[in-house]
Amino acid sequence: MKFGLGPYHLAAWGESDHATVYQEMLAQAPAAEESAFDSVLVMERHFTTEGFCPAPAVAAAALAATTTALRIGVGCHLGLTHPLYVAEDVATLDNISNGRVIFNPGKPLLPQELSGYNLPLAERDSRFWESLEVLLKAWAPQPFHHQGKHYRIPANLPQNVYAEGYTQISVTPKPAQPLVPVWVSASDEDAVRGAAARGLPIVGPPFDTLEQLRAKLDLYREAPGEGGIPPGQIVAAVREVYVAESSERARQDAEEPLLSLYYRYAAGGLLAEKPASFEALARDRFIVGDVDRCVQEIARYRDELGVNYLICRLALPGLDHQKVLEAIALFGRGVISEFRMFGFPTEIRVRALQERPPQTGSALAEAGP
Amino acid sequence: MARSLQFGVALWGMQAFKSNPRHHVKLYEEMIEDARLAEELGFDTLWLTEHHFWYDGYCPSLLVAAGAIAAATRRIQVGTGVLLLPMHDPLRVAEGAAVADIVSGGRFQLGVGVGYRDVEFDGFGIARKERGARMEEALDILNLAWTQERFSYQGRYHRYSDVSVTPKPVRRPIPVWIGGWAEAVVQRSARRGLNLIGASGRALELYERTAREAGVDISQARIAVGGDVWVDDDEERARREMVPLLRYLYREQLGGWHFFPGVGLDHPQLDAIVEMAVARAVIGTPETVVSKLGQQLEANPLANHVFCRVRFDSVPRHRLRHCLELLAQEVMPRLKKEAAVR
Repeated sequence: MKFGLGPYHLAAWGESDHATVYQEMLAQAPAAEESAFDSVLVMERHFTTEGFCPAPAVAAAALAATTTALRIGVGCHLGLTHPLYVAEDVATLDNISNGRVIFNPGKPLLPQELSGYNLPLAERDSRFWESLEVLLKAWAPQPFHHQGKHYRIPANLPQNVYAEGYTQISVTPKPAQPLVPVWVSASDEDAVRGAAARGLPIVGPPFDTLEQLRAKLDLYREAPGEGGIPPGQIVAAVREVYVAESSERARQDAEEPLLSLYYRYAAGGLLAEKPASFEALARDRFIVGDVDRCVQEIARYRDELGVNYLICRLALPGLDHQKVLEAIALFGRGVISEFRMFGFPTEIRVRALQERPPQTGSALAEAGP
Repeated sequence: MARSLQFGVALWGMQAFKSNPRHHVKLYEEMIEDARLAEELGFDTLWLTEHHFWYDGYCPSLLVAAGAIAAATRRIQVGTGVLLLPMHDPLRVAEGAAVADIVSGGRFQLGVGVGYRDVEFDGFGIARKERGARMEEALDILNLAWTQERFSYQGRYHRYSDVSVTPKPVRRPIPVWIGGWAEAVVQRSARRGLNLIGASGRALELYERTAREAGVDISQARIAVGGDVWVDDDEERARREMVPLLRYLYREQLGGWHFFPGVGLDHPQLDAIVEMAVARAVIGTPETVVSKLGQQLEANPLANHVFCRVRFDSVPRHRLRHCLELLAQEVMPRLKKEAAVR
């Protein structure tokens, strides 16, 4: 099983300011890199009270510059603007990051995102899929021409006289990877069906319960097209994860940040139910507790749903930076190792949790010669 | 007139020319190295440059590149020189620039220009002839997005109702520079009291006059003069190495892109135009460069920023490093000192 950190919203909750929130992310990602995480993700939302990140490729480039091993997940909306802007941004990001991009496109979900960018809801899905088609053409090695329902590229406008005769266009630079991984945010049934039909992995959204994810994965497996999930295919899900020394501590730290976030989700229409209590929200949705509880819960997603890539929020909204760093380290040491190191003898595992080796990895590097 | 002079280096576009194909991953790696070096050497600004759909992979996404540089540096200001604003969605630019400003802790400078290649406009489905009007609308929208909690805008090309752009940049607004020297361009900048990059001589006089007539205070505006600069210990070697390179560059960018309408690669006037552009380059020892840039500053009393375009593809890394060092150690301090006492 693989593990991602995020997706980061980069919103400023309560007293915090955005510059600090971004700096904290830029410190947390290298920590995750030192704690055996596989990726860090940033996502896009517009026009929110707390200032969620509206330009994830810019924030992702900052992550690329401060890490070397993590893959960089960039959760861009498609359909709000001309698709070539996104195609260029992500291709550039892939070069900046030495081919570490995971592209995680999603539909704009908030009403103010659609109205702000003048996107009628009726066109949202068709613009999403057509934009994705344009991106894949734009990243392919050959120049291309695109004529769809919404976009004609190049447009061949008669006013652009020196563009006459240019029937094809080449987006440059090309991504560094031969194929940029495209994981589609499974926000609704259309997203699940569309991803399945194109043979693309899906990412289960954090606000779905385990049962809602199960329904989407069943739909994905049965959808016409590629059919089923081929061996080696990514099955990803985002979860609100937080780990601490004890389950009580974890709950104490996580309750307020997650309630704030889920009230926001509910207000934005992302949540089917009204958030009643932390317990009600957490059931089959949040993974909050000590190492053992987190391991048990994550195993359910693996065993019951076939999830093999878990994207763990950990950096909960408004949570103290030091606590996030501690959670990242503990998650790496206690949880990731549990899903990675097969055949790891129990007695060593227990000891490893109790007594950390005196100097490992980054600690050694910091100590110097 | 005593001036507090700022000094910048330009223009990072990460092209892989046909004459010297490179892997873009290496070019972006070098962009970060160069930005760190420029910061270490004490330059005030570093500028990126944008084009689209060109064979050499010219950087199309300046805000993304700026995000990477911002995270890799602490002090240097990162600017776009220039972002071709009429080709973009201004709301998207406002949001991306705000994120770049936040990542950098308030070190982002947004230089914008109108753009001129039909092929680029056409790729985005925009008619080039709309660029002036689109520029005006976009500048309005950037300002509204960064300074107003909520705004609505009814333009010819852009309409937004009741949007609240978040997060706001560290500086509200982000400093905006207008690139270019055409009358309409400098007048636009003057009327809005914006910074100016690339204009000199009569264009600057027009800028000053327009601002005065419009009652706009430009006392805080940054006015950048400069151009192609190359410093080496040996004047003869500097010219021998750089002149052919510049000639190649200008032939390709002026002719290949129809910079002057109608003047393509096969046009009889192209060579003469290219020679004029090459002749304007400031190439030589630190003494030569100090004297020539000093003359530019003297001729343009309004100027308070110098930009040196030293980053040309195909130049060996050690040569660029040496050029940056000479510029930082021998040229910049002398020009700053002269400006301060004059």
